[in-house]
Order: sequence, then C-alpha cells, then structure tokens
Amino acid sequence: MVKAKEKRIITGKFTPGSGIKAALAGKPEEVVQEVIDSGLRGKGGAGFPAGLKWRFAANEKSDMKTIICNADEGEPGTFKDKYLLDNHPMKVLEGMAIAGYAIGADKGIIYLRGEYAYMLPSLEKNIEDIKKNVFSKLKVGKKKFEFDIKVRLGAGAYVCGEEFALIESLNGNRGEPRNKPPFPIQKGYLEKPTLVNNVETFATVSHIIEKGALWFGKFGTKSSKGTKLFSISGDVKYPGVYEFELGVKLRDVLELVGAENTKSVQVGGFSGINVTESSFDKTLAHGDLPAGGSIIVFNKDRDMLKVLKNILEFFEEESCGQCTPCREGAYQLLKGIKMIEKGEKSIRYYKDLCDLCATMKDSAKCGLGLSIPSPFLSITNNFKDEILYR
Amino acid sequence: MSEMIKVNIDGIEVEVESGATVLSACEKAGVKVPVLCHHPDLNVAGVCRVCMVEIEGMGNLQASCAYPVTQPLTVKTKTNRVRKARRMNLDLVLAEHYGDCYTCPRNGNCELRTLADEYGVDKFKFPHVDKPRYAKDTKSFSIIRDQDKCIHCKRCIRTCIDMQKVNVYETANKGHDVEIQVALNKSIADVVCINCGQCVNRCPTGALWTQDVSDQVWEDIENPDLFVIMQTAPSPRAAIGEEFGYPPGTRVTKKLNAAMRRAGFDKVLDTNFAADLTIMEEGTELLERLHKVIVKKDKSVKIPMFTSCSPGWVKFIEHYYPDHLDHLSTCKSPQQMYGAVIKTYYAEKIGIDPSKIRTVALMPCSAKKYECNRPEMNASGYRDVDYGLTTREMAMMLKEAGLHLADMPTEEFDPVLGEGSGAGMIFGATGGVMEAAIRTVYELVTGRPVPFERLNITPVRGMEAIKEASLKLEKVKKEYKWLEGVELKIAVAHGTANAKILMDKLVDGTLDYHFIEVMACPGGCLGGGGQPIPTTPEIRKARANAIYQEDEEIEIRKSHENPLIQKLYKEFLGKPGSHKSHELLHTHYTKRGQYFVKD
Amino acid sequence: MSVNLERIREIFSDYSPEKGNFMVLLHDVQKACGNWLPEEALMEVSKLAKMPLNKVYGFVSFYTMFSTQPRGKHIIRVCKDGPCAVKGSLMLADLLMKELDVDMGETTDDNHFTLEETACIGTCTASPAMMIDDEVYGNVAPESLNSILKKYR
Ligand SMILES: Cc1cc2nc3c(=O)[nH]c(=O)nc-3n(C[C@H](O)[C@H](O)[C@H](O)COP(=O)(O)O)c2cc1C
Ligand code: SF4
Ligand code: SF4
Ligand code: SF4
Ligand code: SF4
Ligand code: FES
Ligand code: FES
Repeated sequence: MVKAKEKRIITGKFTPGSGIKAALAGKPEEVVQEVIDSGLRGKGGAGFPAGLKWRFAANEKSDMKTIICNADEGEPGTFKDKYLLDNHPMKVLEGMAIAGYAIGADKGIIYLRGEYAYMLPSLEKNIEDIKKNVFSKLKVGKKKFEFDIKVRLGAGAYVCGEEFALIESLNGNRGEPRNKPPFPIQKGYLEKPTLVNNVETFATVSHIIEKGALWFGKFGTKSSKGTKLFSISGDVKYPGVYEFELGVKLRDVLELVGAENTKSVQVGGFSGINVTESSFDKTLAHGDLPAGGSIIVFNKDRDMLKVLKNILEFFEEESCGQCTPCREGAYQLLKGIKMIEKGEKSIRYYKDLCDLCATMKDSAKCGLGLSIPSPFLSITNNFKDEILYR
Repeated sequence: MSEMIKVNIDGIEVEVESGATVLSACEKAGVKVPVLCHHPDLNVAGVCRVCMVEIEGMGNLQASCAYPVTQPLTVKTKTNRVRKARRMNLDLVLAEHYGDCYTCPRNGNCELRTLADEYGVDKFKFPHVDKPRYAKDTKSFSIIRDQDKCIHCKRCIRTCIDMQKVNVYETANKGHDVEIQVALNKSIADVVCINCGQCVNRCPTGALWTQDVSDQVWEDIENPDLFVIMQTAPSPRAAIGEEFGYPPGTRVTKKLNAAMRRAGFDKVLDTNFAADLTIMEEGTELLERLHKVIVKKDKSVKIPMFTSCSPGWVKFIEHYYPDHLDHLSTCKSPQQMYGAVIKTYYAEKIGIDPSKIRTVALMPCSAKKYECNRPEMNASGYRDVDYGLTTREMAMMLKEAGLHLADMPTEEFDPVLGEGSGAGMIFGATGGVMEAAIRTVYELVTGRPVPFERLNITPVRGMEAIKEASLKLEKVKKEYKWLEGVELKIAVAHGTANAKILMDKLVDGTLDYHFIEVMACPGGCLGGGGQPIPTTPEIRKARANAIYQEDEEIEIRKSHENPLIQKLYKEFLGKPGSHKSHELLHTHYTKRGQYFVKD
Repeated sequence: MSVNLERIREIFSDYSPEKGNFMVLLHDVQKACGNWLPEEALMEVSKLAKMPLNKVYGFVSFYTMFSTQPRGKHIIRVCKDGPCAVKGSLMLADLLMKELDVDMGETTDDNHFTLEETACIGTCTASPAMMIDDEVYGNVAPESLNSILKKYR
C-alpha cells in the first residue's frame, strides 16, 4: 500500500517497548524537547505542533493529568485511525505512555467512536498485553513505571471528535464544544489538565522517540515534517490507507491510487476543500493543501450538486447545534442551494450565502462550524455552472 | 485573581480583573455590545454569537461574553466585520423564530425585537425554517411554553439547572433538530418544575411566559354579583413602577392602590397584614417546636424549622427532599392565610356571602398561581384564593384600562384588615421573614425589643448567598425559663441552589440551626419570577432598598403590635396556634419525588 | 416488552461510578432493553447514576446510536455519506426499504429489523457500506442483500 519502502514510518516495523524504553532513558523534559525538535504536527486535522502542546501540558501544575487518544474518527472518508488500531495498536498505546511520562500523567483514555465498538475486545486485550509485557517491566529511577489505559465508547456524534466535545462526552454530558480559552491542557477531563492527540500522532511519537527527531526530520517538508497516513476513497481503483511523505503532490497520489477521469478531489474530508485539475500539482503539506488525511475522489460522472448537498446535510445533522452560525448557517446554506436549484431564489442569492459563509468562518464556536464554508465555497466556486446555472 | 489588566476598547482604556470577560470590560468602557444568551445572573454560554468583537491578534472574531481577559487586549467593537457578523447571526436567529409580535406577551419588552430594531433589520435575509410548529404547553398552572419563539439561547436551562438547581430543561437532539426540552418531552406541569418563573424572567423572547388569568379577573370584576377583593404583596409594589417607566426602586404603593380601585377591585387590602399573621403563627410554631425538642425531648418533632411562605421552595423540597417535609413549618403562606381569613372573618365583617367573593392576589411570583390551585387550599369552604396575578400581569391590566401610575392620586389600603406592619413589608426581601419573626419571637420570650439599632437586624439583610446569625436569649420571661441562655441560631437562604446547600447538610446531619428562612427566588420575592423583566442584581438591590425604606416609615414595625392582628385573634381565632388557626391557616405537604408518574 | 430493572441494576454494579463510564453503561442498558431506552429504563438510570432525568434525556437524545423509540432486534445502518453515497448507498437504502417494507428510521412490523442511516463508518474503501448490529458489510451489491439479511432472519 505504500509508495516507497524507505519512507514507511507509521506503518513500518516497530519493536514493542523500544519507544517507551528510549523515553524513560531520558528526563520528561527531554522527551518533550525531542517531540518539539521533530517538528511533528498533530494528525487529527488542525495540524497544531504536537511538541508545543506537550510543553504547555507539562508546564501545567496539577495533581492529575490525563492523556486522551482521540479515536473518534468521524470525518467521512477517513479510516486511517481504524487501520492503525487494527494493525499497529502497540505503537498507539506506547505513544500514549510516552506522552504520559513526558507531561506527568499516569492515566490514558482512548475515545473510540461508537461505530468501532467491535474493536473493543481486541483493543482491551492489547492494553492488557502491553501492561503485562512492557509497562510492568519498566522503571523510572527506582520506581515502577505505571500507566493505565482505558477505552471509552462514543455513540454516534461526529462533533465528539472536537477535543472539548469529546471531553464533555466523557464527563457524561452532551458533546458540546466549550468556549476557548481555557484549553483542554488547562481544564479538560474532570476539569483537570488533559492532553488530547490523535491516534496517528501517538503512533508517530513512538517512532520519533525510538529513532530520534533528527531521523524524523529527514522526511517531509520544512514546515510539515515526516509522513502521514491518508485514507483514500471514492472513484479510485485502489482505495485504502496510504502512507506518504508530507509534501507529496496530489497528482502523484491520484496516479498511484488509480484515479481516472477525475473531476474533483475533496481533500481533508468534508471539512476540507474541493480541488480540481488545476490544483493537482499542489502538495499535501501544512500551508498548501489540508493534510487532514482524507482524500475523496469524484470522477466525471458525479453530480457535484448532489455531493454538495450530501456534505451540507452531514453538517446540518452533525453540528452540535448550540451556536447560531453553525446550527442555522448550515441549514440555510443547504436550504439556499436547494432553493436556487428549484428556481425559488435567484442566482443573486448565492452572494448572500457567500456572506453567510464569511460570518460562519468568523464567528462559529468551534472548528466544525468554522469549516463548513470551506467545502461550500470551494465546491460552488469550482462548479459554478453545474451548481448554480443548471 | 485580582490582578488588574489593561484592555483597550475602541480606544478607551479600562482596567479589569484578570479573568473578567471582554464584555464586562466593554461595559466598563461604556461601550454597548448586543447580547442574547448572556445574562448577568447566569454562567457563560457563548452560543448566540451576536456579541462578537474583534480582538487584535486573533484570527477569528471572538464572543465577548465568553472571552476571559488574561493579558492586555486591544478590542474593536464597531468594525464592519463585527457589524456584519452580528447582523448576520441576528438574521439567522430571526429565520428560526416564529415572530408574531402583535400577539406576543413580550411585545414592547423583547430583547430580540429590540436588537432587530437596533440593527436596522428591514427584511428577512433568510427564508424561514420549515420545521413543524410546536403545540404550546399550557398545562401548568404557572408556566407557558411557546417553543416556536425559542431561539436556543439556553438561558432557561442555565437558570433552572445552575441558578435554581431544579432540573427541568435540557437541550435535546443535535444539529438543526436541537430543541430546548423537558425530560422525555413531557409537559412542564408533569415534572419537577417548582413554578418559580425564574426562567421566564430571563428568557429574551416570548418563548416562556406565565399563565395569564387577567381575562377571568376582568370578567369577575364586571360581574355585578361578585365582590372582588385584591390583596397586594410588598414586592410588586416595589417593582411595578418599572413597568411604567419609573427607575427600579421607586415606591408606588399608594398610586397603585388608586389604580386598582379604578380598575374595579371592590377592596384593596395589604398582604402585609397576612404576613403579620404568618409571623404570629410561625413564631408560635417555632416556640412550640423548641419546647417539644428541648423540654420534652420529643424525637418526632423536627428542628430546624424551615419557613414555608415560598411556594416554589415548598415544591422544591417536596420533589427533592420528600423525606424531610417535617422540617417545613405547617403555616400557609401569607397569600393563602389571607384568602382563608377573607372568606371567613372578613366576609362576615363586611356582610358579604363568601360564595360571592373572589380573592385576587397581586404577587411577584408565578408559583403563587400554582399554590392557590393546590387542592388542599380550600379551608374556608371555598377556593381560598381565586387568582394569583403577577406584577407583569397587573401592569398589563392597568395599561389596558388606561390607568397609568403617573396619573394616579395616592390612596390608602382599605381598613379592617387593611394594614400591615413594617415587619410584614420586609417579607419581600431575602431575610425579611426571619427579621420579622425574630423581632416578634425575641420580644415574646424576653419582653424586650431585639437588641439591634432601630430594630434593623442587619446580619440577615443583603444579597449574600447564605446568611447566618445567632442571638442569645437571656433574662427571659418566666414562662420561657427553658429558653434561658439558649443561643438561637438562624440562617437565611435565597434561591433554591443556596437552599440545596443547606438541605444537603440537613441530610448529612451537619445542619445546626433552629430556624431557617428560604425563598425560592434570588433576592427573595422582590426577585420573583412574576416581576418586571429585566431583573438583574442591581435591580434587585434597588427594590430591596425601597422595601426597607418603607418598613422604616411605618409606625408599627413588629407584627405582634399590629392592632388589627390583635383584634383578629380576639374576635375570631383565639390565640396563635389555636384549633381554629390550624384549621384555616396551616396546611400539609405532599411527597412528590423527582419522577413523574406514568399515566 | 417490560423493562428488566434488575438487569439495569446489575449493569450498574458492573461499573465503577465514574462519570466516564456513563456512555458504556448506557450502551449496555440499551442492549438489555432490546435496542432502545424506554422511559422506565431512563428513570432507573437517572436514579442509579444520580443524574437528573432532564440531563439523562439530553444526553441520550444527542447521540444517534441511542434511541428512545422502540427498535427491532437487529439494526441495519446504511452509510449515507459522500464516498458511499456516490457508490450507490442511496440505492441500497431504497432496496432495503422496499425489501423490509419500512421507511428510513422505521421498524418492521415483526419487530425484527430497524432501518437507519448512519454517518461514515470508516469502510469507505468498500463503499457502499452498511452495518447490521456490530457487523460491518462492505461492497454490498444489490444481489447480495438477501443472503446477508437471511443470516438475521
Ligand atoms: C468537528 C471536529 C471533529 C474532529 N474530529 C476529530 C477526530 O475524529 N479525530 C481527531 O483526532 N481529531 C479530531 N478533531 C481535532 C481535535 O479537536 C483535536 O484538535 C485533535 O484531536 C488534536 O490532536 P492532534 O493535535 O494530535 O491532531 C476534530 C475537530 C473538530 C472541530
Ligand atoms: S460551531 Fe457547530 S459544532 Fe461547533 S459549537 Fe457551534 S454549533 Fe456546535
Ligand atoms: S418574542 Fe419578540 S420578536 Fe418574537 S414575537 Fe414576541 S415580541 Fe416579537
Ligand atoms: S419555573 Fe423555575 S423550576 Fe420551573 S422550569 Fe422555570 S426555572 Fe425551572
Ligand atoms: S425558552 Fe427562552 S430562555 Fe430558553 S432557550 Fe428558548 S429563548 Fe432562550
Ligand atoms: S451573548 Fe455572547 S455569545 Fe451570546
Ligand atoms: S462514507 Fe460510507 S463508510 Fe465512509
């Protein structure tokens, strides 16, 4: 599944215990520094520098801190975290333990989306194994190393991938994102400092700590180091999970996965952007195309109006519904597009919808509402004729 | 925490405490920012997104009500970007709101309408959402819900859950299907709602309102066969002026008397009189309980005794602490005592058949509507009180009749049962019942007035969450020898959230008081759910001032010195706690629990 | 079906009373009640979890995998999101509606199947995808539908 063997990191070989052992050989600050030096960015979508987040978390003073592994993977067209948990669970668990050591947390929670409930037994068995075979044999100075991991289930709410919604959900509440600041690293699970990272972020960390920041830094681009998993679906011959070096050209990706007759590509999932031929030479890297991990390919037979409506329906249902611009905005975008389609609103109404997008992008409470305009604007821009003038 | 931080708002420098919100900094700078979900009494929600501002260095606009100041900030509130976002979010709200202002109780006092006006909304930018209309929930005696007008600001949820610690509402569903719901979509009448009306008072729109009985009252007034008697509580008098444009805290009692007579009420009586009666009964009950506990060591008698004049509080304890109802005083509230006395003693005095009398109570309270409809409230042989009117309803009735307070002369209450003491007056403020009771009980026991300057028992005054005090009983009268040297410990809580703190201690067995006053509403009745909207911490203070001033100006300031009360006992009831008193003025409670019964 | 309160109490005693366990617990309660959460069950949960009923209801209604309406023995969830939608999941949904004679969200008369839509279930490499209970089915061809359903009949 992988393009070039030597670039396999996250899906590569790994000796269980090698990461956490390397971590415990140094001081927690050194582990944090190593992650900072590696230039690793979070793999959950927002691309925030992982090391920096770890440092903030490490600096918080508290009697309790929690590591949360975000396995809510709800972005349509994304299944890379599922792949990791199925095939490389030890890396993920070890990455969590490393983070725990680095920031001073002795508990970890994996928030697994409800639809992946079938994984629960195997995941719990893996946790037992790693505790028994790896953690229990380790020492920090003279003390035994301890790190506990639990799995918690979601129950079908995309927004629970947002870190605060996830935490609320764990707290036994509706998964509604909170106002920021304060951030989870200050006041998260049970109101205590909480570090939330994506499944893939933890898996990558295991390798970074094992092999060093310098080694990791050889891959990727200046601002996007390393490799990344991509979930590729839609109109391609070989859908699946791929590992690419960051900075890879979209065109090369499409070629490799056997995309033919491609009309457009949704990069970064529903909350990402839609690109066409003219952008295929852009790269998947921070600052260029969103490297969120989902690539959905549409071929020339696809009706982009249908695609757009499908995306908006998704957001209209999956918004947590607390803030006006997102709850009502998503609804009005969908309704507006349908009305234009039926001729009940003139094309000029499209401009109002674009204004609405500007407000949503500027005033929604969390990333979900803030990103709905991206697919809307990119798809309508790319396919003005098809969508507005049909 | 109290580190001061500089914030620049549109060029105006202010300093606020670290952790304060940008919105509060704006207020300090005199810059008005529109809000829909923010309310000064409530926790932050940050959901309506109309309070957006630009903060230098931040990519997106920020909700000023939710953004804490922790470092120096430069804020802009008037840029085009800000204006457009506010207006757009307002447009979105208007599209989900079924507005029919003409028929809406909030017309003229609606935060949404006001904002639409201020932001120059002249057309509907977005088509109206096509959700099915809701059926209004009108089953409760007190609260009406019209969800078509709900804008999902969650104020009611935060009021009910955080402020009152009652759990009626919660957001249900997600996405565009989100609605503010009662558990399992029940009617509000079938759940733990205590009818306090605090949610109504905070709702920015007409989605929540109180039952309106003014039409029935008008009909009864016009019916020549009926004799309609009004009793007015102290709190509405300290607040109804607000509905007529007076600043909060303006006292309009005497003008109100005149207006109500002109509206057609046959008699206008003062509930303070019944408050005095309550003090006599409750004070006696307290002493009896203490006697049984201290002298007779009777384990079945419960101390501390809690006051029972607040029907919201009574229902709260019935739902949440049904095993502790024995701690509630058995005294009815002044409203209900008055009703019972009016339809018996007073009816006889004025020579009118009680079946022809309709009693109306002007109250600051929506729970009073429920209270007067409780099945057991018919001691007189009739409905003791026929209607509870809120301050807002009364104002509406007066306006409808063209009776504006400014144009009214001043008039006194009707005599016979007409007047109350200052002690009755202060029932309207948190701590008032306690103060009135102590003025009487202390003097009954010791023969001397309470040892406070001008009788003002200041430790139980003010807006502190829970107030406590103790008073040593010394050199008592002969018949109270068993109380010599006893330190009478009292506490006062307002808002059921604060009451809950005390109740949880009671359950734990760590509550060490003799007598506790609880009012369901923050600030006491003056902050009641039937009071003018808005009610804010400042406004509550102003109303309290008006009430305490009026107390100081009344000649008789102790309930037991009210000559009319003395006369009532002499001619009719016998003595406090007598058999007749128990029949008419005391009641019993119902264990309700937190779950509805399945029908 | 009457609610087995005893079973709900057992489920509660299996978990420590941490807040974090609430979700897992509700999943179990729902299973025990036959794939949905009747009123009595929610009241019992509220009592045992010491969580007011309004909060329990708000919670349950937020998450699409919980239902306060009766559901069948098996729940069929058809993915409706982009990757599956373009590969025929809508047609699949139509076929199922016809085959089971129900609308989306409804339960068959014999209480055997409930048909629902779901957001992406991470099987987009094998679109169109669907789940029956916890089992995932990818590349569901119209011809194969009947043989899949047979397993559950
Ligand atoms: C609506 C929404 C959904 C999200 N879903 C996920 C998700 O499924 N998995 C994930 O790891 N991060 C998700 N995120 C991002 C998280 O909020 C958070 O940034 C991330 O878990 C941090 O991990 P990272 O720094 O390792 O990427 C989501 C964010 C939003 C706004
Ligand atoms: S942006 Fe959407 S998902 Fe986020 S808080 Fe607002 S309504 Fe909820
Ligand atoms: S709530 Fe306000 S805007 Fe809505 S109908 Fe009533 S007065 Fe009009
Ligand atoms: S009236 Fe009081 S108890 Fe009832 S819903 Fe409103 S705030 Fe809650
Ligand atoms: S009922 Fe009123 S207070 Fe409650 S959410 Fe709706 S508009 Fe806000
Ligand atoms: S007032 Fe600030 S978001 Fe509503
Ligand atoms: S879109 Fe159907 S499984 Fe992902």
